Amino acid sequence: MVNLNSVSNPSFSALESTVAEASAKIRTGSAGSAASPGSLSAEMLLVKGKGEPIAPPAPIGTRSILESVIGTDDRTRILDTEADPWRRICALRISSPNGVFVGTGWLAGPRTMMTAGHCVHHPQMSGWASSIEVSPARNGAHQPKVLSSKRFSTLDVWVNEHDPDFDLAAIHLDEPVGDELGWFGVGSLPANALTGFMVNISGYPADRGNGTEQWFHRNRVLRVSDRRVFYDVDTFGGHSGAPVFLYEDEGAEPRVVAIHAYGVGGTPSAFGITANSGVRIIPEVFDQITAWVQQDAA
Amino acid sequence: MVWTPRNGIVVDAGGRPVRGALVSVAWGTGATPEVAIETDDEGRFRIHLPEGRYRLSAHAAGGAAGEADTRGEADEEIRIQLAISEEDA
Repeated sequence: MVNLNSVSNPSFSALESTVAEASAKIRTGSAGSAASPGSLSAEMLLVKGKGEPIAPPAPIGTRSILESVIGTDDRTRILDTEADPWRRICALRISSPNGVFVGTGWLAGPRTMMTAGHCVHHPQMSGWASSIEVSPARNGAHQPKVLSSKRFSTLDVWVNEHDPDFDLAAIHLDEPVGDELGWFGVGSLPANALTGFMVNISGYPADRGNGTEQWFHRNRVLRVSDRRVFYDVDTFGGHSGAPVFLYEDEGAEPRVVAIHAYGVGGTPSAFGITANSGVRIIPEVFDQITAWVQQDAA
Repeated sequence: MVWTPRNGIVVDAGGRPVRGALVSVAWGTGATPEVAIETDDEGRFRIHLPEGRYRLSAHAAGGAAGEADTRGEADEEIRIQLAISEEDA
C-alpha cells in the first residue's frame, strides 16, 4: 500500500493525508439549492445499475484499436447544462507557464472541485498551473458562472513520478458554488462490485465545440485494477478530470467512482482490451477527497 | 516515464498560423493526458510525449480540423494543417 500525501502549489499550504482503510466508503452528494428544471437529457441518457454494453465494440479490423473514441463516436451533446446533475460538471481553462490547456472538473463539495492531477501539475505545463478558470454548466458561449482559482492540491507521488495510478487533484474555490449547484457523491466500491456497472461520463472535449460544450457518453466498466477503472466510454482530449459516475439502482443518487484521465494509450496492452481509463476511488483516495473537502469548508 | 518536449505549429489550409486552435492526442501507444493545448498567437504549441507512436489532432473555431502523426522520441517540429470545414467553405 502507498500512503497518499497531499501537496499543494507553492502559494498554498499543504495538508497531510489520511491512511487507507480496506472497507468500501460512501459519501453523499447534494443537488444544490438552486431550482433545477427537469432534465430530459438526464432522463433519457443516464444509465443506472449493471448491464450489457450499450454499443458493442465494432469487430477488430474495422476500427483503430488506439482511438479514445472507441468504434463509432456515440457521444451526445448536453444542452440543458444548468439542470442537475450536468451543472455539477465544469469546463476548465488552465493557464500555465507553458501555455493554456483545456480540461474538465466536477464539484465534490461546496468549495471543492476534483479533476485529474495533470490538470494542475505536469511537465508539459512546466510544473504547476498558474491559475484555472472554472465554468460550471458551461454551454458554448453561455457561462452561467465563471470562477478563478490559484489554489490546487494533488498527491506527492503524482508530482514526483507522474504515475497514472495517482493522477488526481483538487481545485480549491473561494466561493461556495456547490451550495447552489450541488456536488457529486463519491464512492469507493470493491472491484467485483464495480465490474460490469454502467458508467456515465460528461465533459468538455476539444473536438466538439472547442472545449466549450458538454458532451456525454455511457457504457460499461470492462476491468478494474487496484487503482484504475477501465471502460468503453468515448472520450477525447479535454475530457480529463471528468467524473465517471454511476447509479447503483434506479432510485440512487449519482456517485463518482473514478476520475477520467486517459485514452486507450493508458490501458496496459496485457489487459487485451480497448478501453479508456480513470483513477479509481479506493478508500485512501476517498479519504483524501474528504480531507480536501473538509479543508475547504474550514 | 520519460517525456520528450515537442514543438509544433497549427496552420490553416493556406499555410497561415492558427491562433487558439486546440491540440490533443487523438490516439497513441503511451499514456498521455486527455487534455487539449491551445495554440499561441503564432499558432505554436508545445506538447510532451512519451516514447511511442501518436496521432495529434487540432480543432479550430468554425470546425476546421487536421491531424499529424509523430513519434514521441522524434525531434522535428510537428506541423498540423487544418482542412477547410464545410462551415467555412
